[in-house]
Amino acid sequence: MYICRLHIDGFGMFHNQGVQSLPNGIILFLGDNESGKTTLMEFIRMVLFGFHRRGSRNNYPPLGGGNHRGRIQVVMKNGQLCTIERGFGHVAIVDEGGDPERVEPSERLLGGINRQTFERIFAIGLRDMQGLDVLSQENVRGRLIAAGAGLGAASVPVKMQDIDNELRNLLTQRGKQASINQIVNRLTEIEIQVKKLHGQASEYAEYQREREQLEARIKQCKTEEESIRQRLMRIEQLTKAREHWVQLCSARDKIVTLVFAKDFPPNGLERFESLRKEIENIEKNKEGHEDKAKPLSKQRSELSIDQSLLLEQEGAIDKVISEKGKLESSLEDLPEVRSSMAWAEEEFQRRLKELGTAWYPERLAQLDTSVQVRQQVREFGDKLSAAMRNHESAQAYLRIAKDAEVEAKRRAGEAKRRLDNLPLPLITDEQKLQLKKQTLRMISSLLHKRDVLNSQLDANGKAKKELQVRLKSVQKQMEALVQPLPSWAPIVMLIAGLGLSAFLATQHSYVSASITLLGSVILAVLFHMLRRRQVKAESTRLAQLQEDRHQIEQTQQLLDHEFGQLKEQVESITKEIERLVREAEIKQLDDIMQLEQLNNKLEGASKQLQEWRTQEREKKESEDNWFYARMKLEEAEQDIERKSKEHQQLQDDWKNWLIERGLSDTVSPEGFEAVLQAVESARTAHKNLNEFRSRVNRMEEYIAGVRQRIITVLDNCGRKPLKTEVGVEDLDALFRDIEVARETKRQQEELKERLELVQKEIERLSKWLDEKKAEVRMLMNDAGVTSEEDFRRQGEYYHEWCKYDKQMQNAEMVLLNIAGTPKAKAALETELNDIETIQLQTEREKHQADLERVTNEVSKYEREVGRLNQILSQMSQDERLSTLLLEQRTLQERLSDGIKHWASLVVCRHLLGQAQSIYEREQQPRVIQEANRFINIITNKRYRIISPVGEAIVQLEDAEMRRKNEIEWSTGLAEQVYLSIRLGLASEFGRQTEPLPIILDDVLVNFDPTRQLGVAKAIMEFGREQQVLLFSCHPEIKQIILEAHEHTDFPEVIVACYTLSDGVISYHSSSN
Amino acid sequence: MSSVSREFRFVHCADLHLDSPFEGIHAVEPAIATKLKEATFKAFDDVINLAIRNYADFLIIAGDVYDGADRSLRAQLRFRDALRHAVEQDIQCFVAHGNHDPLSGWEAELTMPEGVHRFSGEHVERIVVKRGAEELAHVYGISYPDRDVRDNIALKFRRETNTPFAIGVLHCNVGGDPSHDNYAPCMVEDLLRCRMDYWALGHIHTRKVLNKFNPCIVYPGNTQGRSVRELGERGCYLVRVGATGSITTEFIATDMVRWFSEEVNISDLNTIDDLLDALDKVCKDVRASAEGRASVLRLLLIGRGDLHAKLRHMDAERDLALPLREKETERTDFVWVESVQVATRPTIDIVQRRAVKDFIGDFLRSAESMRMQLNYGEVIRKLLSSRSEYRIIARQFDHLSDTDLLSILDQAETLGLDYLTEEE
Repeated sequence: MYICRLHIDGFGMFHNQGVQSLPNGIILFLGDNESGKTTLMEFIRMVLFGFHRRGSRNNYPPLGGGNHRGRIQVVMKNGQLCTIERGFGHVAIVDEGGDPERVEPSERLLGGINRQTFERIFAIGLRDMQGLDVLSQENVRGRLIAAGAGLGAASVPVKMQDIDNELRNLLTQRGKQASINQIVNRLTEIEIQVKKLHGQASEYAEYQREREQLEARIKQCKTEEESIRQRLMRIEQLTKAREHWVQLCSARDKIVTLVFAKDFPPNGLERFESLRKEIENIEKNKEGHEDKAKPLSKQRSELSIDQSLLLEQEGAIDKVISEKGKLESSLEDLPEVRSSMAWAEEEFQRRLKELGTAWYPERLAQLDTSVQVRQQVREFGDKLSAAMRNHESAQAYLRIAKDAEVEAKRRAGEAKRRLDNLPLPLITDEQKLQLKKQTLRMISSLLHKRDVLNSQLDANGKAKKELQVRLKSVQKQMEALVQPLPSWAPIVMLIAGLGLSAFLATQHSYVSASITLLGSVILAVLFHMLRRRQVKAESTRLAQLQEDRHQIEQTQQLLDHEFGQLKEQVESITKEIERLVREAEIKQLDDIMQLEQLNNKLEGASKQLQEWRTQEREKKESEDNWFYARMKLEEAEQDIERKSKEHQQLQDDWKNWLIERGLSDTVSPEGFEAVLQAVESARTAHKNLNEFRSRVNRMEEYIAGVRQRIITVLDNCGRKPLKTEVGVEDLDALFRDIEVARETKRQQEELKERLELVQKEIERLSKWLDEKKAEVRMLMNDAGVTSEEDFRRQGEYYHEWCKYDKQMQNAEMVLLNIAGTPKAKAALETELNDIETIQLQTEREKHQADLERVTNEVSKYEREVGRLNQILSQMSQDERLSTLLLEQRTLQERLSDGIKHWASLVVCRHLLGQAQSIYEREQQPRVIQEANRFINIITNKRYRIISPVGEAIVQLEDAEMRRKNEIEWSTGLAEQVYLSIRLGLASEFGRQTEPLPIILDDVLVNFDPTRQLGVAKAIMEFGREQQVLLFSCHPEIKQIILEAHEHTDFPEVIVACYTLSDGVISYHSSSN
Repeated sequence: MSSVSREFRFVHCADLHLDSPFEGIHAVEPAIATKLKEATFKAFDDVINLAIRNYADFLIIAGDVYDGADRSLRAQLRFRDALRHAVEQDIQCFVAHGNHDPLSGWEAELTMPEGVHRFSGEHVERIVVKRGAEELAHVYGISYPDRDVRDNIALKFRRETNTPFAIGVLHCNVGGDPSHDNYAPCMVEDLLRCRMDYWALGHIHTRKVLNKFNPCIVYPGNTQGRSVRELGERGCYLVRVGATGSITTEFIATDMVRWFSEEVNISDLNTIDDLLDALDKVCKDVRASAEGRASVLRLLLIGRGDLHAKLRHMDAERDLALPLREKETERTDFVWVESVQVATRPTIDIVQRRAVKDFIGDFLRSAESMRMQLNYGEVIRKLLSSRSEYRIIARQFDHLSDTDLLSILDQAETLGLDYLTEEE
C-alpha cells in the first residue's frame, strides 16, 4: 500500500492542505522545527488509526481553521484505490466506484495491525536506533523472530540451560545434594543394614539354645526344691499334730472311767431345768388371768340402755338424716333459682321486643333458619353485589371512554395543525429522490476514478520527464566521450628518440644515446598500449550508453502509449459524468466539493420529505384514533343502561322472597343474617326460661316430701318437732341421740367378748401345766433315778464324759486333717510316737537352709531366661528388615524413574544441540534475512547478521565467520545494525500482511557522510518495495538522498521532495 | 482311585513370599507401610483361618514361603506360628520348598511343630494322610534342595499302588511361562503321565487351572499381590474330594491389599479440575471393586490432549497424587495412589510436524534419525556414558533393554517438543 494523495481539512496548524500524486517511492518532507513535520506524521496516523481519546493533546485540534478531519487516498498492493476519510467520531473507506463503508482501516486495509504495532514497526526515529528493544516486544518476537524458527515463546539456549540445571539437580559426579545421588547413597546404606539383619536367624538360634540349657537347669533345681519342700511340710505336719496327738491320748484315758454315765438322756439336765421353769411360769400366768376376770364381770353388769325406741327406728332415722345435706342446699338454693327465673323471663321479653311487636313464641319456632335458606340469602347477596360491581365498573369505563374521546379529539386537532403548518417538500417523489442520490454516488465514484487516472497521468508525465532527463544525461555522456591519445604520438616519440640518440651518438655519448633510444621505444610502446585501452573502454561505455538510450526510448514509447490510454479513459469518464448530470437534471459538477454540496442538498430534501410524510401519517392515525374513541363511548353508554336494569330486577326478586316469608322487605341480604341471629337469641332465652321454671317446681316438691318423712319418724320415736315447721334442727337432734344409743350398745358387747377370752386362757393354762409335770416324771424314769438330786448328779457325770469324748473326736479330726487320709493319719500317729520334738527342730533348720539356696538358684536362672525371652521376642517382632526392604523397593522405583528421566534429559539436550547446529547452519528467520539485505548495502558486505536460534538477540558475523555480540559492536556499527533490523522488520511485516509506508524521522543525522550515503542507499533499496516518508529538518539530507539515488542500480525508485513551512505543504522537486 | 467313607477337604496355596516388600511403590506413608508390611502375613493367616473354618483335613503349601534374598527372622517365626495354629486345630501341613526358599536357605534351627511335614529335596516323598484309621490321601512331594533347579523333576513322581487319592506337590514352571523364571520346567503331559489325582503346583503367581479333571492341575497363584504386575484378587484353593473321589475346587481370595492399575485418557478432558474429578472417580470405582479391602492404585495418564501442556508444568506427585491420598490413612479400605504416571503426548501430529522446515522440524528429524539407526541402543548408551556422572548409575543401565532405551528416546522427543512448543 502506498499513499498517493492526502488532504487535510483541519488538523493542528494545517488547514485545507493536501498533496496530490505522491509516488510509491521515497518522499522527503523537509522543514524547520515547528514547521509541522510531527503534525503531518500524526495526521497520517490519525487517518489510519483514529484519534486519541477526546481532549488529548495529541489530537491536534484545527488551530488553523477548518473541520477536524481529513482523508488519505491509498493504492493497495493489488492496485485497488481506496480513500480513507476520518473526522472526529466517524471514519469511512470509499473504494473506487463504491459506497462509503464505516469500518476501521486497520481491519479492512492494514492487515489487522493497530496503532501501537504500526508505530513499533513502520515508524522509525532516532530513539529506535538505540537498541533492539523492539525485538522483545509483543507482536514482534512472536510473529517474526520466534515464528520464523517455528518456536512459540521458547528460547532454545534458555531451555538448554534449564535442562542442564535439571540434570544437575538430578545427578552430579560428586556431591550429595542431587536427588539421584541421595537415592543411590541411601540404597548403599540400606544394603549394608540388610546384610547385617540377615544374620539374625543364627543369632536367634544361639539364644534359643542358651535358653533351653537354662530351662533344663531350672527344672533340675525345681525338683530338688520340691523334695525339700515336701520334707519341710512333713516336719511342719508333725509339729502341728504333736499337741493334738497328746490331747487325744489323754482323752482316751479319761473316757474309760466315765463310761457308766454315757446312757444318761442327751441334754437331760438342761431339759429338766427348763421344764421346771416352765411349770413355774404357767402357774404364775394362770393366777394373773383369774385376777383379770373378776372386774370385767362387774363392769358388764353396770351398763344399761334407755333409748331402745331410737334403736328400733335406726333404719328410718338414718334414711331421713341422709337427706339432710340435700334438704339444706335445696332450702338455700330455692330463693336464688326463683330470682334467676325472673331474670330469664325479663331476657326473653327483651329479645321479643328487639324483634318487633309481631313476634311471639310460636312464630319464633315457625321461622326457617336452615342452611338452605341461608345459602339462598347468600346467593341473593352475591348476585346483588356482582350486579352492583358490574354497574359501578360500567360507570368507570364510561368515564374513561369519555376522557379518551376528548384526548383523541385533541390529538387529531393538533396533528392537523402541525401538518397545515409544515411547508410542502421540494421533492415529493421518493423514487426520483433516490435516483438522484444514486446518480450522485456514481458521479462520486467516477470522479474518484478520474482523480486516480489523473494521478497516474501525472505519474506518467513525471516518469516521462524523468526519462527525458535520463536521456539527456545519456546523450551528454555520449557527447562527453573521452578522446583517446592520438595514434601518431608513439611514432613522434620514437622519431624524437631516434633523433636525440643520433645527436648524442654524434657527440660520442653512446651510452646516453642508447638509453635515450631505449627510453623512447619503451615510451612509444606504453603510449600505444594506453591508447588501445582507452579506445576499448570508451567503445564499451558508448555501447552501454547506446543500450541505455535505446531502453529509455522504448520506455518513453511505452509511457506515451500508456499516456494515450489514460487520456482516453479520463475523457470517457468525463463524458459519462456529463451524461449522468444530464439524466439527473443537476447542474454541471466540477469537483468533489460541488458534489458533496449537492449531496447535502439532496440529503436535506430527503429529510424534509420524510418529515412531511411522518406528519401526514400521524394526522391520519390520530383521526382514526378519535373515531375509535367515539365508538367505544357509545358502547359504554349502552352497557351501563343494560347493567342498571339487571340490578333492579334482582332487587325486586329479593323483596318478593322476603314478603313470602313474612319478613320486612327493607331487610337486605347482608342484614338478613342479623335477623336470623336475633331470632336464634330469642329462642335460646325462651328455652332458658322454661328450664328455670321446671327446676323451681322440682325443688319445691322435694322439700315438701322430705318434711313429711321427718314428721313420720318423729312420731314413731315418740317425739315432737322442735319448731312449727319441721327442719334441719330436728334431724340434728335425732342424729345426736341415735349416736349415744349406739355407743352404749357397743361397750356392752366388747366387755362380754373380753370376759370370754380370759376364761378360755385360764382353761388352757391348767391343761398345759399338767402336761409339763408328766414330762418331768418321764425324764427321771429315763435316767433311772427317783429324785431330783440324783437326777442332777447323774447329769454332771454325763457332762464330763461328753467333754472327753468331744476332746478325743476333735483331736482325731485335726490329726486327720493334717494327715489327709485315715491311713496317713495312722502313719502320722506312728511317726509321732517314734520321734521327739527336738529332733524335728534340728531337721527343719537344715532343710530350710537348703531350700533357700535352691530357690535363689532358680530365681537367678529364671531371670536369665526372661532376659533371653525378651531378646527372642524382640528379634521375632523385629520389623527393621521389612521396613528397610520396603524403603529399598520404593527407592529403587524412584531411582529407576529418576535415571530414565535423567537419560531422557541427556538425549533431549543432545537432540536440541544437533537441531541448533542444523538450524543455525541452514535456516535463519526471514527478518534476519531481510536485515542482511540492508546491512550488506550499508557495510558493503562486510558483515552478516545472525540470529541464534530461538533467541531474541542478534550477532554479527564477519567474513571470517567470527561472531560479535551486541556488546562488542561500536556505536556506529550498532546503529547500522539497528536500522537494518528495523528495515528488515518492516519489510518482513509488509510481506506477511500489507506493505505499509514507513515513516522515517531524521534517521540519517547521526551518521558521518560515508555512512549517511550507505544508509541512504539502504533506504533506496527499501523504497523499491514500500513507500518511504522521510521527515527531516536538515536540508542537506535531500542531497544525500539524491546522491544515493544516482549511485544505486534502481533508478526507477522515484524520489519526491516537499517542504513544510508554517502549516503549508509545498512541492519542491522530484528525481524525475 | 479308591473311595473314602466321606468327603475330605484340603487347602492348596503357594508363593506366600512372607515379609517380602511390595514392589513398584513410589511413595508410602508410615501408616500405610505398616499395613503393607503385614499384608503377606495376614493373607497367610487368612489361609489358615479359612482351612479351620472349612474343616479342612490338611494344608498344602507348594513352595516359596518367602523370598530367599529377603527372608527375615520375623517371616520364619510367623510362618512357624501360623502352622502351629493350624496343627493345633488338627490340620496336617505339607510344605514343599521352591526356588525362593530352597532347603539350603532354610534356617534349620527353627524347628517346625509336629504335624508339619517338609518334603525332602533328595527324592519324591510319599506321606499318608489319615482321618482316624482311614487313609484319605497320599501326598507326594519334593522340595528344591538349591535355588537353581533346572531339571524336570516332575518326571520323578510315580503313583504307587493302593493309593486312595494321590496329590502331587511341586514348584515348577509348566509350559515355560516366560513371565517367570524357568525353574523345574515341565509340560502338562509330564504331569499327566504321573497318574496323580490332583497336582498342587506353585511358582506361577497368577492362578490358573491347567487341567480340570483327571488329574486336576492347579496353580493357586500367590496369596497376596505384591506389585503392579500382580493385579486383582489373590488367594488359595479349597479342594473338596467327594467320597467317590470327585474333585471340586473353590478359589477363595485372601489378599489384604489389592493392586490396581488404571489408565485415564486425557483427550476428552479440558481442565485440571476435570482431570482431578476423573481420577477421583477412578479411586471410588477401585474402592468399590476392592470389596472392603485396602488397595494400592497406579494411575497412568495417557492420550493426546491440551492437558498435556499443563501437566508438563505440574508435579504429578505433589499436585495429583497427594490430593488423592488425603484421609486415606484413616480408612481400613484405603485406596493408596502409589503414583500418578504421566505418559501423555502433545496434540501435535509428530509425523507431519517432522516434515516442516523449521527448528522443531530439525529437532524431530534429529530424533528420528537416531531412532532409525540400527545400533540406536549403542548410540544412546554411548551418549549417556559420555557424561562424567554416568559412572554413579552405570550399574542401573545394565538392566535396561534396547526397548527401554527406545522409550527413553521417545520420552526425550516428547520432552523437547514440549520445551519448544510451550506457550508463555
